[in-house]
Amino acid sequence: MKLSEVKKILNADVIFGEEMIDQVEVETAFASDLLSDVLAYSKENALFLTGLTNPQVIRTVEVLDLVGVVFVRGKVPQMETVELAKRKGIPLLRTKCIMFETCGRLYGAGVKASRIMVD
Amino acid sequence: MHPVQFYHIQGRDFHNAGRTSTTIKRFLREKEYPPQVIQRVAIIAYEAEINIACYTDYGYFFLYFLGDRVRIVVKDRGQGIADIDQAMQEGFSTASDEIRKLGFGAGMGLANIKKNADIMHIKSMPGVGTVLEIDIMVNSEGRSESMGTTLREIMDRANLENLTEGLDLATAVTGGYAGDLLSDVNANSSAGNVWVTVLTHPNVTAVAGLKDLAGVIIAGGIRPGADFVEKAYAEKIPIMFTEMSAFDVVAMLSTMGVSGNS
Repeated sequence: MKLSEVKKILNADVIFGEEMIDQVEVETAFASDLLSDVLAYSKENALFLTGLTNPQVIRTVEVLDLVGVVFVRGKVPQMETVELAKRKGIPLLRTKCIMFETCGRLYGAGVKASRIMVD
Repeated sequence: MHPVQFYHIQGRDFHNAGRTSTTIKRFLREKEYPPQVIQRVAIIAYEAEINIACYTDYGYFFLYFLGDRVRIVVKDRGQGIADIDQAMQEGFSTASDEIRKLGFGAGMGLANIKKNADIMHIKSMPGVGTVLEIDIMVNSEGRSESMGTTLREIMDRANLENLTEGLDLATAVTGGYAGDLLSDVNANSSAGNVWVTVLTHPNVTAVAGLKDLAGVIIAGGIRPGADFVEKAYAEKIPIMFTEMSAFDVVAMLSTMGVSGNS
């Protein structure tokens, strides 16, 4: 589905990248509040769901070639985080849903796990 | 050996941590390294950079481009690691709350580096600093599932003659084995290997079938007979033929990223 669909399903705000959300394709997602786990287990092209708000979120997205970030639990990313995302062209969404609800809604709509289980 | 790239990384600087890793990633893209190599290097560099930002005053990356690998040497001036075995364990961490708030510090960093490295050496002196030397093989990528070399690619590249037209050549090989002694191949080859041999006895196909090999390349120019080809079809083992010597076939496979099992 498109990121615009994700926005609708999660009743999310677009913090950055309004003009991109109709283009960015979301097939898989990875949800975590531990960046090392994302680095260890996520595959590229996933949508990243997190409650972290610091600029390392964007660095991680860049290192792994993820497609965008949804901040869950209503978290507002730090200003530096948004600035960095703008420079790198990474779309940012924010939802008031908790992580579980966010994952559940997306899964129900057909988004698959970036990785089913760890080795 | 000359370092091609050199980077200075500021310690105790969480805000900029990760910047150098993305620079390195861009650089490797320009050099057209395979995407999986680039991603492994980027993850290694990023975790190392986070470590420098968290635990040291400053550090350096040296990036070497060697024939078959990318080598990253990370040197820092910092608190060092007292017990390396302990530090390598997943979950062991001495991180502060500040680091944990960033989404790191769960004791995964060095383990993540090791997971993505083909070779890793670590030396540390408490109170002085740490040196990490990491190799990422470029050719080993050729063996991974998504980028594996297929029999068809091998056949096309080396102009091999396909003796079993119609059998599937699309699966990626897991590596190669060369040998002219059936019991040796039976003992030491692995499933999915391509087997290079000068033998033309029909039992070759029996061993290949038994061991689930991907296919057989008959080298040396002695052409197998009709009974051989018939058995190969029965076992569904693709057979390719070449005038090249076994040595040359193996050398060619090596340049395509197909390597041995050891």
